Amino acid sequence: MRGTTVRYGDLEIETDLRLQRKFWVFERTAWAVMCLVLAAALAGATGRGPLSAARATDSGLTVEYDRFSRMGSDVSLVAHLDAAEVTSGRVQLWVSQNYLDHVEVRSITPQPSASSADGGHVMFTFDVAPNNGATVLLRLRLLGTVFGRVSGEAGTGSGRRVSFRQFVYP
Amino acid sequence: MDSVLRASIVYFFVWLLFRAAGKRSLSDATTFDFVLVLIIGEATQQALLGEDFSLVNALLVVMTLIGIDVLLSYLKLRFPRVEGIIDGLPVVIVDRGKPLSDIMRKSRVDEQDILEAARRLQGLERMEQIKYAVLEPSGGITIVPFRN
Repeated sequence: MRGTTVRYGDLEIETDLRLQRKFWVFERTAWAVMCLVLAAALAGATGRGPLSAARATDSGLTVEYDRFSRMGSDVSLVAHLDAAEVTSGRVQLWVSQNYLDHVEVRSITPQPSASSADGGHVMFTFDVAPNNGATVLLRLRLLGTVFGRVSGEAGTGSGRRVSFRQFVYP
Repeated sequence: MDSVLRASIVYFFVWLLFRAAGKRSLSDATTFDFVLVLIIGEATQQALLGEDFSLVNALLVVMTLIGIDVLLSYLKLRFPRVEGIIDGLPVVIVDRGKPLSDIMRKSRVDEQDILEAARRLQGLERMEQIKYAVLEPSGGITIVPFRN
């Protein structure tokens, strides 16, 4: 059952050129929107790309993170710690609990030798081999479990702290 | 809740994309179009099910999709205008032997498409034997020949 049929010459047909023109305008607009979305995605607006890569630094600590990520897909948090942060063969990195509530920790490389929770942080302790002054690299592989804006903080045992914000797409 | 929302969103977006792609996109399925449909199915399947492979989730998703379908068919019957918006309208592309080139260009149909349909459906040989050609909402072309 269709709408109003009209007479088009000898044809009895439900054609409506005015509405059809609106459809064509919609089609063309939608193509433009699709192009923009794809270009933005290539640039990294939906995660993993130049627009998404970000870093936060507080002297001895630099954290690389993604501004944009997607629920259910991996996102990594890479912390670079200066050699000065190493005390008696160990280095400590904490991540705020409210951030960890929004992600699932898939893996931490290297494996922390200890982890502890205290008032709003989770503190990870890593054993570090004597490495004559090289930067220590800690990599957290995370999985977004909720969507929306997520903000987090990370810091070292010596009091350096950085904060970051992410947008997690559904 | 999750499953119903997921299925509804996927249904809506797939409809929107196909509507935006236009009538001609997946009509007259070539082998490649068939493969394309399979790939689109694979890509949306993940979004539909998420990481929940339970029976209940699958049933909810299927129920949602069929439910939307039933609801839309009811709406189409009730409000004739809705059908045109959801499925598209037929467009006359040849009027008494004359191809309407502006409309054909906008619909992305060329004379070869019309002549092919005329040969296949009516065994016609030339454009002037076609009284009307209509691009149907399904994306196919139907032909009305001159009767003499």
